[in-house]
Amino acid sequence: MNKAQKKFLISAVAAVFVLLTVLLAVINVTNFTMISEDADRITEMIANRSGSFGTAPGGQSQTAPGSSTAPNGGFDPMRNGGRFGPMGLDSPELNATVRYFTIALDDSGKAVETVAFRISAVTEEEAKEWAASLVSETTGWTHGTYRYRVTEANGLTYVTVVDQARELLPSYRILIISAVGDVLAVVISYFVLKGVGTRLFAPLEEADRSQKKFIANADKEFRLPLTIISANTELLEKTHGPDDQTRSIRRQVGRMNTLVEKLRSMSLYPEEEAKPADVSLSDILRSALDGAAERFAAKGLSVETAIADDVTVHADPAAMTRMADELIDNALRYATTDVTFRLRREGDRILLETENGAALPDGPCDQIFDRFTTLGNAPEGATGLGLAYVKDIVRASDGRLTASVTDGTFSLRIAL
Amino acid sequence: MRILLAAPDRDLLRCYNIILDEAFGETVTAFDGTHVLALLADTDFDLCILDRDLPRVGHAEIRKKLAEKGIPAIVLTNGDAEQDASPEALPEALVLPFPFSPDEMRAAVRLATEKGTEPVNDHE
Repeated sequence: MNKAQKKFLISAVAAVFVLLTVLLAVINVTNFTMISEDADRITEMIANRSGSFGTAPGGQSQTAPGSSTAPNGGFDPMRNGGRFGPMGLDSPELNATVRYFTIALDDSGKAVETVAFRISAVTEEEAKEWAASLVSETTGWTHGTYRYRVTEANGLTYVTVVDQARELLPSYRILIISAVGDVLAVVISYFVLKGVGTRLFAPLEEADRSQKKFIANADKEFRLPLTIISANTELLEKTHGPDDQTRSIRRQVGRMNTLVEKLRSMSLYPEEEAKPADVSLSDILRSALDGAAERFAAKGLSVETAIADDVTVHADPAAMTRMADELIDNALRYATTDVTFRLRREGDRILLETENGAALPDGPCDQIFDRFTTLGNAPEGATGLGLAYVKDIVRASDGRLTASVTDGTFSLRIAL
Repeated sequence: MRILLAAPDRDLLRCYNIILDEAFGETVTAFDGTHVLALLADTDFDLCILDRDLPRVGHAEIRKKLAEKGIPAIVLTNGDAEQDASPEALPEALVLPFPFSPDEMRAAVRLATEKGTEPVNDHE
């Protein structure tokens, strides 16, 4: 599996995980919210009925003394939007199924009356203690699965607490199933996407292999003719003496030799074995710029540098040197104004930037990283391979690079 | 010095025949492996310059013959200099990858005949 395929797989699986997690989170939160709202409706209804549903089965009064009891007739299962289904708030079964208690407290917060007590999990004493501790908020959850509501009536404070454990249990199950399903989906998507990725990337890899093979073959096909042209040029000069034509042939052979070397690099990199090590990119860049100082001067260009000390990178030193050389070579070919090179560390990234004036239209120009691509009026000797080689090096180091032109200033930015 | 120059390309043979003749003396050319073996059988050479892609008889067999006769060799390659320079691939060979200039060829000949035939890559 190559780097691109690995990145695709990691990104795709991460996307599946995030999407599914968000979806399941929304479902579970919605479910929990609905349970809370249902509990609130029940506590509100009980509170509105002065602390109880009315008459309990068997004729035992559950109503607070002195309060009126709501009539129990006219049950409509779709009332309240049908949220309770057949167990709607008007259901005669609700009284038998809801587990709750209502405690009345006086001004001092002391329990003065048990208005209703239809619950087994809590003793009446505990219920009074709970009620006394819950008066600070109007409504909320207490002791895990209990929803409560605090109301004022007749100079007393009524605390109604409803046990929602039975309603919450399915939602906990859904939560656990969601979590397990999420993990399973990620595992399954990993294997599915791995298979899909292999099929998806096969043509791209084949195209890349073909391109490299073509370049390698082209490189080899150039080598012998160049050798023969070079030898015959020497023989011509020996016979007739050097002239403008033979000198021109030599120059062109030199250019072609450069192209051949670049083609060789393109066809081999990054397959050729990199030997990563901790190297000082500061030193490499300074050394490359020092070596090119005369060529910049010959072109009438000055070079401004802002190179931070000891910017080290874990990469193939030869590739880093080649990258610096190619950036300088590019500036030498295309710059129309002075050149700037900046190198610094920003967080855990290394930023290498170069700017120069270039006769190019404004806007992003990342296509210059494509092989054999030059922009504007390419100068003599431009092969369109230098920055393509830089791109291969940067990507092999998991870096990013961008290029753009703003107000006639060409900027190239590499983040390693 | 008598040099055997063996390569399948006749243009290369023609121009380097002249260049090597002028620089080192007699140069004999061959364009395939069979021709090389025939020449080695009845002529003494001080050096053999051999294209790695010589047809009919592989360069390995020819180099074995050269080793038997104690003739140093320069192997011309198509850019796989690093591979070819390994002692396992071309023991005691001097590798000269295409493209090279006449100056590089002359330097390689001098190196091969004066300093022996340890593997080097003087193109890079």
